[in-house]
Amino acid sequence: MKKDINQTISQFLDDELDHAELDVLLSAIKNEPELKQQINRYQVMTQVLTDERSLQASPDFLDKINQQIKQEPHYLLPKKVVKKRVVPLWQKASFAVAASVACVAVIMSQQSDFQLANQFQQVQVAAVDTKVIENPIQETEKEVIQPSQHERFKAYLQAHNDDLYTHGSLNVHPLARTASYR
Amino acid sequence: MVYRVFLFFLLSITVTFVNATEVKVQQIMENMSQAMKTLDYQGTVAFFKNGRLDTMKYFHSCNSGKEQERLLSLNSPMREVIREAGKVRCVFKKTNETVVNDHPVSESFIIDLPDDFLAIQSVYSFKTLDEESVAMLPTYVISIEPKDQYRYERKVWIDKVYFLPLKSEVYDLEGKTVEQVVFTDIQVINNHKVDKNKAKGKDIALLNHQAELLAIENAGIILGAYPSNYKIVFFDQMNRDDLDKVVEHVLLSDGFSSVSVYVEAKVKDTEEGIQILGSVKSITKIIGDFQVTVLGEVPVKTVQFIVQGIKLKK
Repeated sequence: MKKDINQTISQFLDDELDHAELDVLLSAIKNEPELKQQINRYQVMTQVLTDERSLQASPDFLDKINQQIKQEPHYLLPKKVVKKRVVPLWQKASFAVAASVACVAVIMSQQSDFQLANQFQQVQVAAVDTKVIENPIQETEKEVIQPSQHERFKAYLQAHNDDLYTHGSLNVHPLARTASYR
Repeated sequence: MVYRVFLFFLLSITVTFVNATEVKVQQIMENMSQAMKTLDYQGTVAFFKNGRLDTMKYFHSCNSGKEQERLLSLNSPMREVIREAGKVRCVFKKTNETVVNDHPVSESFIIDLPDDFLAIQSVYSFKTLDEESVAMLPTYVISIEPKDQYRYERKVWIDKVYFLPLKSEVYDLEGKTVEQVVFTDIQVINNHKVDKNKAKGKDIALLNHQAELLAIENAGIILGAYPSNYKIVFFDQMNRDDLDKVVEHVLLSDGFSSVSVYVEAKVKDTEEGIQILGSVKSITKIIGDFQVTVLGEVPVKTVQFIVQGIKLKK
């Protein structure tokens, strides 16, 4: 087994591993820190043998970089707000009814013999259409409930300073203690 | 011997001169504070902040010690903002939407000022600069320079006749202007000049109203440390309509700069760290099951300092 690993490491350093073998080796390195050190040693040896100058990074070098990246501030740049056009329920319902009536008219002209029966069926279709429309609206309402961290930050900001008044930002719901609508 | 006496004489003159200058600056600032509250005046004000400019009509009146400030927008969105009895009400003309803030953070739309100019000199130094004109009126120019890294420098241009602030600017640590408020025209309606001997507490119903809010004991956090001369102005619990959650809000201020601390139950996917939005610096930290956000128009160092001292009450 050890021999296999050594062989794999050697192939890895010579860039001779295919993708599947590389995946196996990388997951093995993740689980065994000693293996990582072994690869580093082999790499240094290879560089010495090939007379290349080697530069050994400290083991926690990558961890330090990760920490630095985590501590970097987030710059909240202005983002263009794309407003989703929400079609009111009555409008959707009227579209559905209009579409259903159109269907009824077409079917009536084609099958005048079965007029009464078809009308009954179309009313059922219209009822089903209206049901289908109601569900997506409920879902979009659910999506709106959770504001993002950016929106929360803007709400905090509005509660903190007078920008709402001096610059009139209407797009964001403020953290208002009382709000009324006439 | 003669040399020593001469040196002592020179030192005495220097000290006296410096003290006289400080007293003069302090007197100008106190006069401004009084004038802002007691005079009736109106004009056009330009607000410039984070690259945005808005111009509004401004009205201030004082009736039997009760102040009212009013702003009327000249550009869309059309709105009227009224501050009286410690509350701010904003009416958007187009939608008829009214937003009422019972506990506004600032005490003036023009400039926030400390109550005690003598005490504030421990963290700011005041200097008079060369006189300039604003809105065609001669002004004193006062530079307010912080003595530490926890606040921004600012300048204020004060009318020499009525002591009203005609212009104010705030600068970041690199000296860039982050905020500017300037009167382009101003008229004083009641022309009684500032009575320097007037009792200070007589005309401020507003401050008494806000004093009732100071009940920090009810907060779920302990503010372990904050920069010198910052004080807790109020503690408040805000209800968020959109989340149905209570957000605790503590306001700290040194008189010129203010910092808000918001505490709410931890929200999924909240990222810790520093956020910067123009002149506003903010830091978010997860403490136990809560997320704390410290925010203000102050240097990053200030929000970091405050958030490090925050602990949850057991």
